[in-house]
Amino acid sequence: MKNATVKKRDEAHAPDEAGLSARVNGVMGDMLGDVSSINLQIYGKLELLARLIDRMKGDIGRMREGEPGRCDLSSATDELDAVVSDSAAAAGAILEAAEAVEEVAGRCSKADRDKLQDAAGRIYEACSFQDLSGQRITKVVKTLRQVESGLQLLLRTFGGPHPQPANTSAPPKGDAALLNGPQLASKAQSQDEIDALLASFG
Amino acid sequence: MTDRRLAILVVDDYATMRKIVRQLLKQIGFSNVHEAADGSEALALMRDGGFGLVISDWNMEPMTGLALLREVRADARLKDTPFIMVTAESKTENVVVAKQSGVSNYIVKPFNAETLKNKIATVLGPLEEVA
Repeated sequence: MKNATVKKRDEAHAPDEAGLSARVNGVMGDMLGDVSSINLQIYGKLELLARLIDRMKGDIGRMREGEPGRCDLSSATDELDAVVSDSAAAAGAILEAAEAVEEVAGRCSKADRDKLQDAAGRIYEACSFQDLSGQRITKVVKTLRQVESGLQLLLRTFGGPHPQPANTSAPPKGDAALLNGPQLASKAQSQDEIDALLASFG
Repeated sequence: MTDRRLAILVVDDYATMRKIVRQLLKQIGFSNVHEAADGSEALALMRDGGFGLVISDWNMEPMTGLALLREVRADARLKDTPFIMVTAESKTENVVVAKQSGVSNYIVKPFNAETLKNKIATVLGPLEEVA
């Protein structure tokens, strides 16, 4: 049982409930007036964003459940890795055949030897396709693995108890920024352009 | 005239590419060709001595061709070794960085035997015709 002094003190500091309610209602009224003047487009966009997030959560949930047609990036990158190794094996076989042609050419007349060696040379040059296609595919695989990493983070974030930090693929710097691999034909510099650039150094 | 007996080191992480360059060099008349699969292996071979020319790819791991070039140019015993970069990296900044790092010449893939021969001749001097 509170003594009279404490009770009196409590009463002195007790919130004026009626006054507080009036003040809150007053602020709410002011806000409602402001809300009506706020750009309704912003609210529309926020609502759209909320719906997109809800849909994404649903899509990610279905991906976890193995819904048919979901993108299996792991097997896609495995397929591409197989393309690189299979084409390397094929190029190796072609080169061995070209070497066999050259060996025979050594026993032919000069005219035939020149023809066969020229043909073998063109085979060697053409086989460099495997090197360039391998580099291009490796670039694609790297990109796919980054996408896969991002999706896994989303899966963990929306369903897992312990989301991992994102694999933030910040742009490479320094020497790493020079590792771009083969460029598309429309963008790549030709040997003549590179020769001119080297010559400009004097 | 360039001595065709000089030892050439071909550096590339793709075995097929090393084989192609070796065969093209053979056609030009160079048969003393050695191989390395990356910059680290190449550097170790070079420090054992005796290479008159290095032909290297750029994009390799753990040591890139650019890193190999810089190591070679920083090594008192190796710094004057002719070094030709043969690479798919064709951007201007790549060529500039390679030149600033001391590359002797730069060949962009895909290339042919004639280009390889011309660039070697530019770096080493005239090549007598192969019989």
